[in-house]
Amino acid sequence: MGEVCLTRRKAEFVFEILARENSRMLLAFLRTIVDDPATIDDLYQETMLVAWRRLEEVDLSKPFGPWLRGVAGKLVLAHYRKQKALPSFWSEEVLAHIEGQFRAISIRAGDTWEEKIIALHECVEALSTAHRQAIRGRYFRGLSVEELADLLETSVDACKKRLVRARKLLAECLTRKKVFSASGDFQ
Amino acid sequence: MNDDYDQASEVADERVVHGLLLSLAVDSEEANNRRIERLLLRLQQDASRGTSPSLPGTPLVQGRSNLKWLAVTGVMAASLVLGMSLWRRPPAKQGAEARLLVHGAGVQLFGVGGDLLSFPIPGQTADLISGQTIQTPRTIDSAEIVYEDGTKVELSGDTTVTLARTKHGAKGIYVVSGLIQADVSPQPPDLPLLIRTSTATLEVLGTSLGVDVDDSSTQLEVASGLVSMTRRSDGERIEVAAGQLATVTEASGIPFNSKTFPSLPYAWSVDFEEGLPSGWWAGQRIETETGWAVLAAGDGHGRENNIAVTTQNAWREGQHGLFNLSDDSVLHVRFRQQRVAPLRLMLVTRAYPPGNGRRGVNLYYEDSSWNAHLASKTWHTISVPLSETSYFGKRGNFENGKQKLEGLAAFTVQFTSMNQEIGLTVDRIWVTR
Repeated sequence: MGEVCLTRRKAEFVFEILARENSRMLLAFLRTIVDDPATIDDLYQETMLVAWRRLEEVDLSKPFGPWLRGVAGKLVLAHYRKQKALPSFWSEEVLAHIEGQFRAISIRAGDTWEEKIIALHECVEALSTAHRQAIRGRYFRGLSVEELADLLETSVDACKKRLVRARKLLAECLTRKKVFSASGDFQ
Repeated sequence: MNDDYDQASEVADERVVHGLLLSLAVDSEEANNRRIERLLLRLQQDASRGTSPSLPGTPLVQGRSNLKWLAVTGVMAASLVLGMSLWRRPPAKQGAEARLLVHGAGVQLFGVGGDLLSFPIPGQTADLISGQTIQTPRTIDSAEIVYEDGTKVELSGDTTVTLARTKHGAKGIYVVSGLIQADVSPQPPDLPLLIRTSTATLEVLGTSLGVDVDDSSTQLEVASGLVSMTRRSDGERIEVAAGQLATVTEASGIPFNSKTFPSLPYAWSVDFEEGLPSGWWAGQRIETETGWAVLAAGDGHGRENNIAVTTQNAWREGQHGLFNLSDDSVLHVRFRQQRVAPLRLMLVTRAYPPGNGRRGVNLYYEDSSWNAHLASKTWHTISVPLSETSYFGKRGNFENGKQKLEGLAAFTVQFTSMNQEIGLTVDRIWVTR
């Protein structure tokens, strides 16, 4: 009575630590390659469940993040195949670049995910007013593109283009700040 | 080939920026913690249904419910992981960092590996090292951390903290939730004591302060000295001076400032007709022939004086206190009981506004004549001049005699029949001058 299963306890504890350490990274990764919030929630849970079931296969001397993203990537691909519709950006090259950027972020200084990507705040602030308004409205106020277009008094197409341009400027800024690797680094 | 490559990297970078922006905007640390808790619960549920064979289906320690284990482990691990990720691991030399003084029953001390090290009883002490987590039960007097340099950190009930040490050797405390009051001895200028929560970072060089932490906010009250407070969501930083308070939430981009303490009323009343105030501590609301009242009950945590009517802890509820005290304050209780028992009234007070040179005490009032009008169906009112303290003090250090009340505010009031179930029912409590 009252005995404690130390091995199981250790496994659960290790998993919980790894899950907490990588949770926000995993969400950001899923948000990068999946657009539907409900699907992201499902895939997050599924990835973590698979990770728990396969914990014994993990080499804990290596970073857990890449392995977790590998699991998530396969589940996302399976999801898209089931839907019979891959997103337009989907290609091996793009996915390799995305993985490279997440690796670059993971080695950034900072104890938390937030701290690792804190430079993004500075980059948003450094945008022109028009681009900053677009980014803030779309992401931080959660406006739809149509609502944002109304707010900015522009067409939906122009609004989409402004968002694309703003994201590209942010990527350049993050590269200058060494949060992102320069594209050549992955070759 | 290179064009394709550049195009792919451009698309990838834009997608990653999209993911990072959403991550910043949508996935707060607190939301993430909730997501993890849901995940752990699902793992446990799967295990108990046998749908996850590799996951154990029984609690780690027999005799404790899965849910309770999850809650305790979750909170402990959350604090541990966050603590470990915010600060470096403890130094190799594992000497004691501080002492834990236990004032109330049920304080739990968890080791770095998550194991429950001890279940101290009041009066016990224990050495503390970085990475250990202390969880106090929902009682009035709980525990205190004392460092070698004299720095004292009092933990109120229902509080969870993890001790830490920064990579540079400064003291650190991660407050997961709850209320702490700290008297910080002067620290080296380059090694301020760091108090971290999910929403804020406080740098303290030597001062008296209170920190109240819940899921989504941190409230800092400074009694003396100066404290630097940084909002973790965007790095916004302010200085909070003596006699001021500031609150940080998960939101970023909104200006936050320090302000002076709001004034508290001298009169106060609760009659339960509209329900129990938020956070009501102990007692069951019942309907009587004259309206609504509260039947004394145990709070399920304390081991003594646990049949009581106890108000909310107004400090924890963000109200700073229930009412200000003055030397002519009178507290009235309208109640009835079915049997004779020792009755005791207690007011838990704090210096208010902080920094006025007072220290909070617990004021106790006992009077055997309160039992004189025993009639189970008749309401009886006692009026207690609050300057007529039976005794006062904290944590076993009691004194008799009058207590000067100016500069104090009550944040919890308790009326108790001690350990005896006597059908103590309170119809109204109010304070006048």
